[in-house]
Amino acid sequence: MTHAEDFDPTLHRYADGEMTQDEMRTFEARMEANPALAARVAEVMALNEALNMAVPSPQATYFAKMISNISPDISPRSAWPRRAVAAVALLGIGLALGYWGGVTRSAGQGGVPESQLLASASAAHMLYTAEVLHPVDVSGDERDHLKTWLTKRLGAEVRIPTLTQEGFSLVGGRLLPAPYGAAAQFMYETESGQRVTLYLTPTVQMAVTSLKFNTHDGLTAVSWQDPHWHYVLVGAASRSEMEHLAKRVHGDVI
Amino acid sequence: MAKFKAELEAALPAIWRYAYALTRDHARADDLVQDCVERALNKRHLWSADRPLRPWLAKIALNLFRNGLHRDRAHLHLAYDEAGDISDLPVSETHMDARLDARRTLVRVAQLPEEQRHALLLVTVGGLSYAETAEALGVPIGTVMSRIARARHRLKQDPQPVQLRSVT
Repeated sequence: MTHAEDFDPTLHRYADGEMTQDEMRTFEARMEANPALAARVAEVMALNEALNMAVPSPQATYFAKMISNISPDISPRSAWPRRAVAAVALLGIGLALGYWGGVTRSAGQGGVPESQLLASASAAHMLYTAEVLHPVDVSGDERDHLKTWLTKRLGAEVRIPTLTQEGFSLVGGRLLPAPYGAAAQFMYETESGQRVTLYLTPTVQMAVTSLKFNTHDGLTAVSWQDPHWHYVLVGAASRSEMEHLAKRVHGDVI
Repeated sequence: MAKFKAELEAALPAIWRYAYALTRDHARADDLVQDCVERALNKRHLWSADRPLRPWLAKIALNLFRNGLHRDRAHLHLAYDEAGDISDLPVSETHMDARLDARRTLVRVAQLPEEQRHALLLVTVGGLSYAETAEALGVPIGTVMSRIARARHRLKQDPQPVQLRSVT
């Protein structure tokens, strides 16, 4: 049983991201008119996804270490201190968490070092939780608008977790610059004004990690990654409290 | 040298993923990539700074894999936690099924004819463009495309489940 579309080169160029925008539009129009072609594209995309899921993605620091181990003179210092320093120079704040994130293990896949993510997330946390008048760009009352806007800007479906059971209501959210592209920040607060922020930015490579904790000066950052997003939850709370919140967030965004 | 090192570091995740897909084993992928780095560093005078490094590294990795040289080397293995470490998090059964299916797919890819397998893996797992893959394999782009098309066609034709086996 042979299918002509299997050997249609445009199908493979489409699935492998080899097409220009114009070519993609033309091909998508063809797909709409040809269900067999569309079905084959879906199969090929599923195959690509399965292959990518079967292969882990070590973080960038892993390779920096590998290179310096092989040739000590080529890399006198491992990559993380420079990255952490760069992050601090850019952001001014977020030093401690970022540095610590670099020293410990990194979840930043595909060239997004976790130290930078932690530094960005904690800097944004410190900057905006201190704001009384304008802590967010879009208020939590406009939840749907916030979701639509950020989904559009970040290019992947944003889900805004609900933490009311934990006593945190949604203050709102904003768009932020991120080490690679853009990020969203959602702010939550208790009735007593205790604030936590959730920072998320699209992943470069698909991977799933467990929760990681970084604590400094009373601030705790919990970071993890799912196939589509890097998450960093930041708050001035105990590790167990933050863990509880992170698990709730994780359960909500699946 | 700094540029070379930066390019090397940027290219290695793709090469490692390709190596893992070939060997389906963490330690062997490490060995292969380390040998690849060693060779690239020794031969870096052969690389001109205006050319992308990935195809060249992919070619080295492919050759090392073919030669089986990486099996004879003993390397220190860096401590590494599986990127897929999901033990702390609630994992749905469908997710586990998907992972198992994914692993099976990788095993089936290993049974493809060599030339099809390398073209498919460099593009899908390594994330190389058709042009880069063509350069790495030393064939025209059209050949890369037809190998990928044949690989995918074959994977569709041959859907019987393959026994999972461990690689030593």
